[in-house]
Amino acid sequence: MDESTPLVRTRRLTHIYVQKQPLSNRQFTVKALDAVELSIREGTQLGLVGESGSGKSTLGLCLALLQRPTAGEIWFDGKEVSRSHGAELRQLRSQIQFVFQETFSALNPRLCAEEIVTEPMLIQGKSSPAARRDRAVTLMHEVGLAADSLRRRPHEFSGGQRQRLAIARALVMRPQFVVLDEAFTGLDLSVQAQIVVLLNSLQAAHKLTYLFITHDLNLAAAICNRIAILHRGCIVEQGSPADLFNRSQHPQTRALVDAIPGRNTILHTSLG
Amino acid sequence: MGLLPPVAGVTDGAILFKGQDLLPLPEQEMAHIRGSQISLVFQDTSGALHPVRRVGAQLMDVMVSHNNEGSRDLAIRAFREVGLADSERIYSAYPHQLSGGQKQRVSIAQALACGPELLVADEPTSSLDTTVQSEILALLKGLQKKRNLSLVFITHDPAVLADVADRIAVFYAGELVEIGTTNDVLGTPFHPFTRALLACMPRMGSQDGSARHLNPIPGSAPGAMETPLGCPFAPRCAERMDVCNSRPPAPVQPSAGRSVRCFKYGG
Repeated sequence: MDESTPLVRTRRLTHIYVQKQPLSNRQFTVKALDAVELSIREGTQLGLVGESGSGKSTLGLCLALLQRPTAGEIWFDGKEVSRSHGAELRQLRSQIQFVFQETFSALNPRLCAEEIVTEPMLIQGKSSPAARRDRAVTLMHEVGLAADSLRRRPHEFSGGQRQRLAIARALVMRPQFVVLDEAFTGLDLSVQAQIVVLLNSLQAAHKLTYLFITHDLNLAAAICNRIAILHRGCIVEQGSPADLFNRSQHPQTRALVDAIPGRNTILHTSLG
Repeated sequence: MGLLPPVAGVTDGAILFKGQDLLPLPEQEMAHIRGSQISLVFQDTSGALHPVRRVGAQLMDVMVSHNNEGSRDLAIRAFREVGLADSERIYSAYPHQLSGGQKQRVSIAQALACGPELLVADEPTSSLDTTVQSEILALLKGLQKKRNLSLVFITHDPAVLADVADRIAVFYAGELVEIGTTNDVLGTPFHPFTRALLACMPRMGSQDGSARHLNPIPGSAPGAMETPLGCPFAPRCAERMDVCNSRPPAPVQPSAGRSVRCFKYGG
């Protein structure tokens, strides 16, 4: 694929949620995404940062083809895919993966780690049990989980280990594009740093493209080369972490930068 | 707070509050202190509020149970003090109608309703997003100054403490490993765990604006049932020495107002 054409691109992507008021049956609508134009080049990491309710997760779900947008286009690898279905959609599912915030509900509690990690292979067909086992062993090693944990179930893992398991499952089909939706929220600082380092090394090893959704600019800067600020369904600013930090144009970006805890204290000044 | 389940009871030691040991107090007396002199703000705001009662009534519960006086006016004033501008509407709202930040403000109003001297805030901003977090931190700091409160702020994120704390105590595996002023602990951390924890923090806006160089601590924290012979941090410590695995270090004072539990400083 040509360097200049993006792997993922949206054109006027819009999503409207329609809700019915109980009893009165009156409908009201929420415009979660408003004509979003976004592009992500292959092998780069885009951070999507915004406050709660800004539409971050909706955009992530739409790009992962888990939610059909109300209007607009999603281009993936040179094809318009927002209306794809059937075999075509199934094929795309192996190239686009999603890592959820809540690992406990994202992993089936009745399956063991090996079954969880290799379930996508089973769904996509054409794989032998031996091949699945091999792939599971490789992946567990790659995400830093002990090989003897293949038989364990989700509740036997810690929060950080469950997130590693979810990442292993996301990688099993060798995807090109991974959407990570608040994948660290709820993990403590040292575990979070371990996962950041893991994601960065996996990215380098497999030339992955990430969309990294978070409300934390610091975290986005630790993983991404570009950051887009989403505010009320619109992308209000995009740039490198340094640009946004030092030369932000939009008041919403400024607000997010100012909200970084400990910003004007010894923590930052001592770094020089 | 005297709220631990029986299985995790305090086995030894004393908790002195204004010179009085709280541990031997009968539940009745503790119930009087709790809420009126010492109060608590929880991390999980939706769990801390009753889901089917209006938040105004819940605030009045606290006032009535300790001071025997509670009125709509007092409650509305209390909501205004914690920055809930639309306090009349909030008064008659149910928790599910409020945002996470608003719920946390209601919890803070509840905790402060009887004018406590000590407020314990356990991860009060961990479930909130960054902008709301900074508002709540500013609120707590403002209230602390205005009311001359003593505040114990529990968190896993040292960056949050940089904004609110005068002193920081660092815990590892149930032990106080380092304590000192905020500037000392964050600026020149002594204990290897404190240093390693600070190296885990993504920090945007140092020189090039990126935060790419994180150094995670290898391994994971010991479980509650493991009781290592030596220093509990030794297995993960980059500066481990022979002595570290043989016996636990004792606290030493490397400089005024600081204490650290590590053999590097004499332990």
